[in-house]
Amino acid sequence: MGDPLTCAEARQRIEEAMVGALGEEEWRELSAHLAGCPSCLGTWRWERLLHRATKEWPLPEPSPRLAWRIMVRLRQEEEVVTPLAERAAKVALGVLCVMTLAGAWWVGQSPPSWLAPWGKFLQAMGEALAEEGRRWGGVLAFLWEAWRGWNRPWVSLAPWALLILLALQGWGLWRMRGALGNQLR
Amino acid sequence: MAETPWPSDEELMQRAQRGDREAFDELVQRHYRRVYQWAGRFTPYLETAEEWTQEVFLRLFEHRHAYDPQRPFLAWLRRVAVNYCLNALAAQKEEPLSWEALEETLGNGGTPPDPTPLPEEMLEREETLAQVREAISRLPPRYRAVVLLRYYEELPYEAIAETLNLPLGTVKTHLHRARAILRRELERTWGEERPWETL
Repeated sequence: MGDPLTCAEARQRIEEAMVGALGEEEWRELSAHLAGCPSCLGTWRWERLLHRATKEWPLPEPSPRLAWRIMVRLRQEEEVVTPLAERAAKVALGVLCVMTLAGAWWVGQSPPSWLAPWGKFLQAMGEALAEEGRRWGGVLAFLWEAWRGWNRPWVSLAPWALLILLALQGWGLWRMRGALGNQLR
Repeated sequence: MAETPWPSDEELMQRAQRGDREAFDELVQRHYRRVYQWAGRFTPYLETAEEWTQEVFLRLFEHRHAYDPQRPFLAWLRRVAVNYCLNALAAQKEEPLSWEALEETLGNGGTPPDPTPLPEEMLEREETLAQVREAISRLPPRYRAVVLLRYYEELPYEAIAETLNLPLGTVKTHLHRARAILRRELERTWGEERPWETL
């Protein structure tokens, strides 16, 4: 065992003891000093009191749903920061699709003349790709068939079915968003 | 970097930085209780503590690219959380009304009450510690933060300084003044009694 501690050294040791940084020998030296020094003993007791009061501070457990709520909020915040242009483009595309198909259904005739060049383009692309046996040729051919047959419901049924599915999906997402919002409030 | 079955916080944070949302969810699961406990020492209102916990994780995610993977995640989390609580308190412009609210909440909806009666000395001990906590809660927020980081987190001065972004000397001064205030307050409460000597 080394020399007895001075009061300054003992105060330093008390500080270290509070953060669990004392070795066995250092503890013994501190104890020996405290046994004969009422002033440092008083400091030690105050420090221990503060330590216990904070360490044993009673707090209930957080709600088990807190972690889930945090994760939901993170996703909501992400949605908020989705670029406006991206959202606007999606909405515009959806509206365009609906208007085109609804207009065609209503008119019940061949596509408007101003759309004809695009129809020819699609037909040419579809035929070219189908000839080459490319994977996307079939898709383009299907689109062309739907395009040509939009005054015949049994032919253009597929695009309409897709639209209905998309609408149902969007409605479901909207409802889920509302439910999550209610749980957060 | 190869992904381990039980990745460290630092690895998860790096994955979150690369856009892995599940990695950040895992961090939330691991640490939300800890953040809540920190927040709960700055406000007596449990709803506020939950709200602050959410905000802390939102900020962590928002500023995830500011995290340096070479440094411990927990230190960064503590820094964000404690500073958020201090800023939130400053924004409120007023101190929490009373910590009795917390005690009431504890009695009603927190830890279930122990059916066995406590011995008298245990009650006295608890009362003494509650008085100390009450005095700590009345400290100015920055002093309170230093006291909590020192005694609850058991951090060395250097780590407290880094957490609060304060010079080392300021941390020591804050702690010295906080102790003096606490001693004065508690001696006024206790008068000639010296309950801490028997704890």
